[in-house]
Amino acid sequence: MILFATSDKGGTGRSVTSCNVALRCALQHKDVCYLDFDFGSPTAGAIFHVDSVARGIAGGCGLHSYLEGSVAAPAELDLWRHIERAELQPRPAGAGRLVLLPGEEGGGEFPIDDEMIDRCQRLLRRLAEEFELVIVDLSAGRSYALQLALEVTARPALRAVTTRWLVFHRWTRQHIIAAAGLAYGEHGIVATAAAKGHNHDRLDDSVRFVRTAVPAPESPQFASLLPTQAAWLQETDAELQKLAARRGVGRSVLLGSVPLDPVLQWREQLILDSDVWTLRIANKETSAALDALADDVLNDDAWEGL
Amino acid sequence: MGAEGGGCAEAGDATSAGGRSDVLVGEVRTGLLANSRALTEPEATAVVALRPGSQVRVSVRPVPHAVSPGLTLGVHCPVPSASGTRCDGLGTVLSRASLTSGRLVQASTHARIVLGGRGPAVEGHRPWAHHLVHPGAIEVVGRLPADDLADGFLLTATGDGPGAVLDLGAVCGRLLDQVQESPILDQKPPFRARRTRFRFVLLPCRHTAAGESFRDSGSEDSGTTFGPSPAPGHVCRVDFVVADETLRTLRIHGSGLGLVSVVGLCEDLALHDWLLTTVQHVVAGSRVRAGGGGRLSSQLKPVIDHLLHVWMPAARVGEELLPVWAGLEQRAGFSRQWESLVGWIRDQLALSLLAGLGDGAR
Repeated sequence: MILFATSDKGGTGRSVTSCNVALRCALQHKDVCYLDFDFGSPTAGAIFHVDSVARGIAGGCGLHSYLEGSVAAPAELDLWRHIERAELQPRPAGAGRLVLLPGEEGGGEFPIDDEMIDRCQRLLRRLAEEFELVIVDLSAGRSYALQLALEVTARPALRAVTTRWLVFHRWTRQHIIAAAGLAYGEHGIVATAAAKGHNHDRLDDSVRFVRTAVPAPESPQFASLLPTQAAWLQETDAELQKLAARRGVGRSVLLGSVPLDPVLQWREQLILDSDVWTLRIANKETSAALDALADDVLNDDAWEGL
Repeated sequence: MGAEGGGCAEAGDATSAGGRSDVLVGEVRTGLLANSRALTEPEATAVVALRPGSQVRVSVRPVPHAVSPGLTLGVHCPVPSASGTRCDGLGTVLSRASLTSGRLVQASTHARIVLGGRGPAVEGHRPWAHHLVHPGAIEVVGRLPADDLADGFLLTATGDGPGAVLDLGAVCGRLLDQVQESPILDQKPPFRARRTRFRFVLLPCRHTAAGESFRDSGSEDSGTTFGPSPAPGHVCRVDFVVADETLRTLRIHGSGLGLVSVVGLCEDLALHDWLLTTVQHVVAGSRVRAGGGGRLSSQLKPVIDHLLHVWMPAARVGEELLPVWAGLEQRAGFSRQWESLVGWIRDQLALSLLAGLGDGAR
């Protein structure tokens, strides 16, 4: 399965959540591959604790160079060898493969041409052949990366491969409206895809939303709130639920929500069991939400259309 | 070093001249066909019919096997070298794709690199027509020892880094992609398996071959060789190395061996190495996950369905090269390891059957 991770706005936690999902799926024995298609600011290396590619890979062998045609294949990093976190060394028994295809240091967005689409299609098809889950982290908004992804998946060789779309958005008014626009609006994913030859209904069924940085009013984080504040929080949450439903991004298309957690917000890092139980810096709710999201990503039932 | 044992790789080649040595280099990539079931013979033939008007070779015993026509690609770039010597090569590489048992797909690319064929004084290039009548040969201008070339080819990491030197792996990988993209395939393989890369070189015999060498007496007097070679083909030394999770290298020293049969041997070895690697990976995974209670791990089922019957070592290997298989069986123990894995899977199957029967009785 190829999973495209996208968001309308930056700072939604798209990359950090996707990286955590990739890790959790690999720990559940799946072979997982992560492509950093955030051409303007590749950050997956930093999130995965791989210092050598923290801002993309140097030396002209990353995804940019491959798509531009200057190398025959992009660099693939076996993350079990490169993640600099003691808890993940040596590779946990039974874990699937976890491979990162980093973006390039100093890269930027670039217009796409036909040859680039060919190369991208060849790469994604090969990865889908070798990996159970291929996560493609796209740049925010209606970017060239998004165009490329929609173009490539319309090709016959990839049409047979299961492709799914995750739209990440924060739990705010602006973000809900923006995410709905990105998915269903003018020049949004569904409309652009239909223009490129995708089956409208099939694509519509393959889009799901992930809410990030969602404040959970009942969590201990908010235990010290004044009654008025707590009431306001509940009320706002209910309003946002209504707004989401109105915009077509309600519960029926929701794949998961990840609570507000400083470890995700400030450090943008992997959340391991030790962060929750030993170091006690991350909340166990966050870890549970990421686990549930990883389960649902691979669970066909979660993607069944209503 | 580069000038010893002239014309070893293809002794019958009429252009053989004194002071020249040929090195055969090649790479085979092997993977699982991107289809939910095994292809039938007509389907397999259609998938590898990569050149219109050229025949696909099909054989049915001992396992169904379809081979595409040879594809030629012109190259003009430096050839690999361990010491970093830059020598330009000009010529063509030959590739072909094959399907085994309608289930496994391979692409192989090779070239006979002609070292020291022409003195450095001849700087002008020969016309392309010359190279096109010698498909699969690359002429190298300048001095490059055969071992330097072989080490460079076997050990250089390819595919990552701007490709400044001849990269057979890229050609081969591209061909494999092309086969896998065939519209006949449904792109739903029964399980995920890694591709393996198998690089090989054939070097002239070293008369001072040290270390373990298996100069097999049985095949030397058999006299069965490919091509009009003057002496019966024989193998002096074989080194097989599992370099990393997916890369294997094979270095053969031999003389009078047919090029075609060496490539065939390497494809056969690569196929069986892939089978071993893949089944081993699945078994290792299901051992960790063993749920107990004699339940058969779900990962084992596709392996039983699709892979266990494909093991047919040395099925398409010429007689003069059988010692290579025999030597690898003895040291690397391909078949022994395979039998042990298959035995383990069958035991798991028996256990799950017993557990099932027990449940039924209760």
